Amino acid sequence: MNEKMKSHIEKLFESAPKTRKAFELKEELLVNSEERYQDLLTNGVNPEDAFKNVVSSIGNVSELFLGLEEMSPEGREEQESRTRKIAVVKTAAAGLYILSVIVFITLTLVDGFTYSNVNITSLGLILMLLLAMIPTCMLVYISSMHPKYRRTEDTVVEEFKEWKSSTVKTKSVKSATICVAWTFIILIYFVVSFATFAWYASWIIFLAGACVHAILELVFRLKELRQ
Amino acid sequence: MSITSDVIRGHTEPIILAHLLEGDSYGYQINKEIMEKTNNLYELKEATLYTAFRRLEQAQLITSYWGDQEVGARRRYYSITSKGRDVYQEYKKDWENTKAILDTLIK
Repeated sequence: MNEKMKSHIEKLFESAPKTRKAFELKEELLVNSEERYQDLLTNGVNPEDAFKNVVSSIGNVSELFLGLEEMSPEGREEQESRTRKIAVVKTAAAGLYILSVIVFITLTLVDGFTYSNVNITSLGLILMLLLAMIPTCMLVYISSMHPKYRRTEDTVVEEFKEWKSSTVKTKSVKSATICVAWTFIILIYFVVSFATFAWYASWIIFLAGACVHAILELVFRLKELRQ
Repeated sequence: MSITSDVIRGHTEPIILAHLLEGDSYGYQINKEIMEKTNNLYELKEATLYTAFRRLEQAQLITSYWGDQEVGARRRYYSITSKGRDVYQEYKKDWENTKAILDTLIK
């Protein structure tokens, strides 16, 4: 292989996207250019002129690179609108979390001013946890809806990104599920305690909760292993 | 000459299809045959050729595969699909009509 030509073509492809398609095109161009060069030499053209001829025959490659690039504009648009939707839901979830805290604080204040036989502070706590469940569910939904990272280019880097994104995704689903589970456990604790006033025994619910957590952990691990 | 090459370049894709009708081929060979057939009056730029290949491949009019040369680098061969044959026949009909019209207009 003529080194001069090889380096010329390498240089042409410097600005090309680093994809498999681009690599194949380079290989194709190299082989064909080499053959043309050899043909010219056998026809008695001197190497200098032959090289010039080959270089000029390649023409403008920049238009070729356009076809080697990533995704279509529609795909990009779709992804953008999805990102926007996710942002809206996340913002709403954050708002609901704050609201739940405000409700709790308000009820605590109300408790300080009124005298009733119902423990308003505890009621506020239950209400806060119930309210907090809504944004938690929203976040779980978003994280499971979030599309897997789609490969835009056929490269090793993209494959790595895809792999990474899928592990991140399972991790986020896992943590969201555990978060919801603990919210439920705390809720059950208060409901049971207020209903039965068996505070001396109801703490056992937390032990059960830890057990549920361990089971969830195990389920996710098994799922991971199966993949 | 500039008008001629512009007009011809607009028909790169059917020219490639016509060559592939005679059998599978690769970039340089197609270009060489074009030069031979036109007595070195016309040749395609490599860039034009590959752009056309990609477009034809995307339209599923041709497919490509890598040859297995024993010596040297691999060549990329192209072959025409049945859809490609159909499109080529359509194109030929269109071209006959265009040629007839041009012949009556430019004398």
